[in-house]
Amino acid sequence: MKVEVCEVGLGRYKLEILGLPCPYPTLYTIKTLEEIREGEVLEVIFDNQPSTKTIQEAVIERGHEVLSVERLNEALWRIVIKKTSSRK
Amino acid sequence: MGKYALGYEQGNGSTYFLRIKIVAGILKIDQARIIAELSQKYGRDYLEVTTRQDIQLHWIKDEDAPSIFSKLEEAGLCTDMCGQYYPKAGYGDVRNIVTCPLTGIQPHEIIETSSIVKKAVEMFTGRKEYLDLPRKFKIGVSSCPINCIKPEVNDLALVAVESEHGLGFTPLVGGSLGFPPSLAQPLNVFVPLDEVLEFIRAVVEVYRDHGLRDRKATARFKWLIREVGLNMVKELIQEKMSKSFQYLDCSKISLEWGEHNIISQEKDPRLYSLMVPTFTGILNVNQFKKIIEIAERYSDEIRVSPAQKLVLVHIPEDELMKVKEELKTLGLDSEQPSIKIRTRACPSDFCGKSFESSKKRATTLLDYLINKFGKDLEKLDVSISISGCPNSCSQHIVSDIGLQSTTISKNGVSIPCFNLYVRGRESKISKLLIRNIPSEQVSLVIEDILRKFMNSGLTDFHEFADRLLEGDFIHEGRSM
Ligand code: SF4
Repeated sequence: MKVEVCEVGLGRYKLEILGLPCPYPTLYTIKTLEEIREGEVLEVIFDNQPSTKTIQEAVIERGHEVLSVERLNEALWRIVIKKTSSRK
Repeated sequence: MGKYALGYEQGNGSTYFLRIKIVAGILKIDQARIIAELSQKYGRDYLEVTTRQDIQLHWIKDEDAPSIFSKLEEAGLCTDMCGQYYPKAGYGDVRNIVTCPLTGIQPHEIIETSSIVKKAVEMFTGRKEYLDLPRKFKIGVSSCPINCIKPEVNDLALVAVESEHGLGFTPLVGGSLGFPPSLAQPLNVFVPLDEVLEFIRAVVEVYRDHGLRDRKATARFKWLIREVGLNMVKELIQEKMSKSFQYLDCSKISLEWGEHNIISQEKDPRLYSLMVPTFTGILNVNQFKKIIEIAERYSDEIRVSPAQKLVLVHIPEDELMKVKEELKTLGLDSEQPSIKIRTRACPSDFCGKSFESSKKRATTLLDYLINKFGKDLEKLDVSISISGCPNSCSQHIVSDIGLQSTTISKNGVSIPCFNLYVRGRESKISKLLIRNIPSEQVSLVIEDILRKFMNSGLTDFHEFADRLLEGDFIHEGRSM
């Protein structure tokens, strides 16, 4: 189990959430987006397959922009999100 | 974290379900009230009782999860970790440990199992070292010779025995009904009562440390047993426990499965338990709240059974009629043909793996049979289970008559069908009798089978099933 947020560049953050099932990847993504500033970017790395869908839905519903969704390997995904709204 | 999760699903407009473990099948009244409140607030007034003594809610929203989890925590309840969506092996947890729903109160039990089950659940719940098993791990603890938990469908089953070595359990390992189904096999050893928790821990750790993790499809415990053999698994468990087991010949122990009666007399002969016939486990919250009100007149708990039912306990004999009437007004009439009481169905409409709703199909089928057979249906003691896919969540593959939803493609159009299985005498795993029956013909085919059984002069359905499988009966030009 791993949940870790770090800054990986100017205005760019990485949230790694591994070994946690639903709803944790989605909840941590939302929480982290609340903590960064508008215009900043959050990269979420996770291994819980349904989160490929549920993270995107939750993020779009809150008015943010999904920049990319990628499968990194058999059991790892990355979603890149731009915070474009201050809505919770 | 590690005690609560939501399951992902894609049917009926629901994204998440909440599978609440009812530990040892004993639900305290206060806990039941909290579940009713959660169903009302977050789950559209709907509840399901599962075959592993869980209560399941649907239509849960992820943003509500923190409040729901803290409510459950306050109530001393926890959930499955539902890690089945990881593409690889790993992150498996110990699922709800099933046990007899009448443990502690039934007169003929060998061992009271609720305290063992509670301690075992505490041993694994929320503990990091048990949250990354190769896959899910199912445990069953049987307390009496009825074996209502169907011991052999579990990865590990402990069957209570009173043997020459004393009071204790004999274990079976490696059962799992997902494809390919296999039944747990006896280790032919005796586990004394005071060592049973240590034994359960050792088996889970053997699975955790030695289970196959290369592919998810071969990660369940049964595959490890196939790979290394039963004896090696036994040795690994002994090594973990640093002791040798005493031999116990399991062929002398009855492992037949049975089901509890609708009404059972308790240890205290003045009191009775009454099964609430929740058809395929479905309840609405108003029914549930009323059941809670009835239950608390007699006890501080409601029991939850692996037959997708609730059980009211400690009812004095002279109150039974009144309770039955009250249940009847809720649409839960206990005077029903046993075939209806024994029907089970999976929640395929929510899970999204099937074209068909197993629970709706069960309703259609039973309404049809009741209409066709009338009173005669009461003569039939046959179980029917319906699953939406080979995962067999309703346990259709060990039922007397099992239906599994499938589809065939005709001119590019998918046609919903069912494969029909029947259970003969030779194995508790049923055999495929007819493949690809179009959905709308299923009721007719089952009517035909049941009529032939009634007219066959046989009393044992398994014996009749053997004859069907040998092709002794003909249905619509097909050999059956
Ligand atoms: S048997 Fe298949 S369709 Fe039914 S609940 Fe289980 S996984 Fe879903």
